[in-house]
Amino acid sequence: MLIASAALLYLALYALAVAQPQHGDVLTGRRLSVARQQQARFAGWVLLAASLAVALATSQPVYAALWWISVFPALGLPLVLARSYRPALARFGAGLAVAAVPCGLAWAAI
Amino acid sequence: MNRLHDGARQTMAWLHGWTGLLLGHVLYLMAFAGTLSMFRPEIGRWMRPENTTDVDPVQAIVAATRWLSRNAANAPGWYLTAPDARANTIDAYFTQGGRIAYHALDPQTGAPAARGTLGGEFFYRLHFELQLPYPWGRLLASLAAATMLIALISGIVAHRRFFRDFFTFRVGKGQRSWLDGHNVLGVFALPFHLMITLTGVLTLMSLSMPWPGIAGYGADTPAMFRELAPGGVDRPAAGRKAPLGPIADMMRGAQDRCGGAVGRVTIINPGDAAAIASFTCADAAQIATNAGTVSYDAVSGRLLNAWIEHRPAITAYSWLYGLHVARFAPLSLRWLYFFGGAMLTLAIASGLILWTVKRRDRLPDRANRLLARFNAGVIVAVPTGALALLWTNRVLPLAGDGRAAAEVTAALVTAGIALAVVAILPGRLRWPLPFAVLAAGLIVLPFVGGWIGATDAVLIAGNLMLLAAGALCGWLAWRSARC
Repeated sequence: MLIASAALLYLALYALAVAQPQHGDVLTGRRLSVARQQQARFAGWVLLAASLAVALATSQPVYAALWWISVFPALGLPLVLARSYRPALARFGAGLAVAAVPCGLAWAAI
Repeated sequence: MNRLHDGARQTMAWLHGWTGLLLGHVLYLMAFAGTLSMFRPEIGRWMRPENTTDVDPVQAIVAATRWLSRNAANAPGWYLTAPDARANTIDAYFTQGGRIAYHALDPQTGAPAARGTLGGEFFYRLHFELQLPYPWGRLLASLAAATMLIALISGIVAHRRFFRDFFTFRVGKGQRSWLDGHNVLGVFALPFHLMITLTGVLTLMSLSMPWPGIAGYGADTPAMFRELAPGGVDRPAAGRKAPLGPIADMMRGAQDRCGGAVGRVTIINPGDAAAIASFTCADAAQIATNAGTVSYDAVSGRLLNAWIEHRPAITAYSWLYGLHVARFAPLSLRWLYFFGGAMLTLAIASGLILWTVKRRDRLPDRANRLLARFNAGVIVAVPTGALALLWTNRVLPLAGDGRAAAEVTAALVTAGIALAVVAILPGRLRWPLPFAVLAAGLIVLPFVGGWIGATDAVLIAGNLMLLAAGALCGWLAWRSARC
């Protein structure tokens, strides 16, 4: 479940970065319309809440909150560095995270 | 209204800059040492590669008390930490020759480990004692932690475009890049930094803010500690010699009462007929550090007192303390703590550099240039000193008294030399050369002493970490040479 939470968190950060004009173009490789940026921002906040909810559902609230605030920089910093040096890596990370969400949930179910 | 906000922001920016600068070097050292302390037992295992066996904690404590009975019989107390899944030696503190001595004891023989070293204990103590005598190191650390809290809060207020700059890191733009880097490091890990700083201030609260205790208990400080830890027993020595009783049975009894493992064992007045054996419940399975204490008559083995902590105020405090030291944390969370600590260390370092870079063009005076050299010297000296400690651990011969002290001396002397050398290096070499030296030292170290082929998982992981850190320093040397 924590894998799913981490993957959702990365997707949330990626979406929130894409929602900002100065990062969206670099991360996606194309100019996004204002409507797309707003959709990305909304998706980012929803994914952020979902990530926290999944973490809280996984273990005790204190452990989950501590884990979540600790994993936040561990995923955010690579995203920022990838955005500055290798935007394709950030996109690859997002693809990986999309795959990791169902995998993490399935693994937890097993 | 906006002018008022801008004025407040400028004031906070001024406060953030100056608080960060005045104690920034101390905070950098504390953050670096604290980050490494997250793996205190594992660093100890890496620095004592001869000790590879895991032994039952009860047998280990029995062996330790047997050796201490022969070699530290006159000490007023023995303070032992039982080995567990992470540490395979016993941390022992006792008074020897009028000074407090530390030894890592072998769990099988009870004698000091073959390789005399402080291990990870050095970084742990450095984090809050700063290699200064008691209480000055702790007071300075406490002041620095409080300053850090001010710097964090003023930094949040001063940051005008908090969310807009969230993902911004512009490469190769001089001052702007340093500011972006400082912001990214600080903002992403801000909740962690606030948590670790606030709980850090609380850990030294009784020293930095003693007045509530004085108001409540006056000069009778022991009464305060008796109430804080009611599981202990306070009785004078009888003045008659008597051997220790069945320590193993007492420890097993304490384990039953704790409902799990015992963390620390304290023997007061060992060898005396009124000796006391106190067992503190381990805190690895819960956040709060103060789980409870069980005390026995150390000669007869009779139970004297038992206390499992449930009082809300004490539990709240020890819970916050536990959040800071993270002994409860599983491996994954310890790594996340390590990463958050590393970000804090880098945020402080980048803040120190930013302070001089911002003023380089505006105030190109000698004081600013000297400060830039000093900042670079401190930033390089701290990891270089740590590396020297690890190198000395591998190259010094095993035999000989004062080996642990020699390691520490080597670390401090090397750090001092590194500070002086980096401070006088010309600008184009100031970063590439030290990073190249660090990279070489880190990459070669795993191959020194013949332990590269060891099969112990902690040794392998430690060597891999050194190689990874070496590769990172190599990359930094290459990058800084190109700038």
